Amino acid sequence: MSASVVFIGGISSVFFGMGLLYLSIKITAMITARLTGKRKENLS
Amino acid sequence: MTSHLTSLVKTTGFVYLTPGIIVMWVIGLALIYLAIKKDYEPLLLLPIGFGILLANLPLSGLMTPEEGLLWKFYEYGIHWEIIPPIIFLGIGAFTDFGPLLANPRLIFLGAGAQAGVYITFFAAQAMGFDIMEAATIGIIGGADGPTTIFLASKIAPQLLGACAVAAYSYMAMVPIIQPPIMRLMTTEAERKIKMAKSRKVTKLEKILFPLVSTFLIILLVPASAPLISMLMLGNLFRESGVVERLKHAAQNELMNIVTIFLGVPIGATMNAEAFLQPKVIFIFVLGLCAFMISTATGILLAKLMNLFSTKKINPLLGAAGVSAVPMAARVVHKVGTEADKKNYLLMYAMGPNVAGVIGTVIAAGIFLTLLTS
Repeated sequence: MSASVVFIGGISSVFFGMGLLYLSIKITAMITARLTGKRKENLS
Repeated sequence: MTSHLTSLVKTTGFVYLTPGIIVMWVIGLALIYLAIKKDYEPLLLLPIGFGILLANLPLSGLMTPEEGLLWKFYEYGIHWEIIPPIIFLGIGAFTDFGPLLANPRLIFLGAGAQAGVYITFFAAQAMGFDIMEAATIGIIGGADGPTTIFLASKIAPQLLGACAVAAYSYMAMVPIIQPPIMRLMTTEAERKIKMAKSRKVTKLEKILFPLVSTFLIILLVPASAPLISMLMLGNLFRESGVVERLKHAAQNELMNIVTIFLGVPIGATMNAEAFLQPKVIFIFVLGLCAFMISTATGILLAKLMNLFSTKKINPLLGAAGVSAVPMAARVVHKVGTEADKKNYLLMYAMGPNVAGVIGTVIAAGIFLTLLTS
């Protein structure tokens, strides 16, 4: 595996991973809103 | 009589002393001094320093394969990947993901700060390190000790001691290294930007998050499973509120025990022959560069996000994207309050700071996946 592939693949994968984490937070908020019957914006 | 005396002397370590061993004693004692006198990461640098002394006592046999006590600690604790995941269990039990859940867009600052890892990886390879060593040196830029140890033990165990000491040293020096970069890369007006008030995060949300993120992250980067699974389990202990004893054990007893068994064998890998090489100096220099670049790229990403957002982010928060928790967040808060005494950034900075931990784990997982497949 060449360094340039690891470099480009690595950076893009980290951002993709963080995007997934962002998505997991949004999914968490959505599930919470469903379970509590509140709107996402008013979870508190 | 003389021959008996000669053979008696030969059974002691004194006759095997070399200048290299003496230099390693000085390094070990220096780490112990920094830990005790300067309070630089004492929990790790003190046992590492002592481990260096032990590894450089001739004939002690502590690191003799299959037999030595410290070799057993190293083999079954670090090489078998037991200790770093247990440390992540403790970190999870300590970590409040609330700031991250309240401001999810700040997650990307944790990714921006990983750029230093990859830039340094590229630079290290260009300087002649092999690809495995370059990845291990690059990960120092994430400023995450356990992840550095985890990756080094898997792909470049010969660099474990140097990389671990570099990572923990730079983590201890966050208040010295980061502020000049932060001031250089931001204007006074940017440092005064006040963040919008965060919403309150419910308990249910905090319980669901470790479950949801465990599934998603491990499905994406399976190699990060040992660290992420333990991090999230520890966090579930914390947030569930029903296993207080387990939470306290993970935060205190377990964490303290594994810290002892982590530090001493890491120090013990640093014998004079392995450590006193020119490339160790390059490791420290490149590690410092990685850390500085990570700080800078985190700030740059915050500025970039401001170009496309109506809700402005204080760019200082980008510097918290390195994973030295909570030191980097505290430094952001300190530099922010220097510009405006009423600008409290600590809680906001904890978001990217925690994201930085996960980002570094993902970066290490990607290295493992790409380089060992």
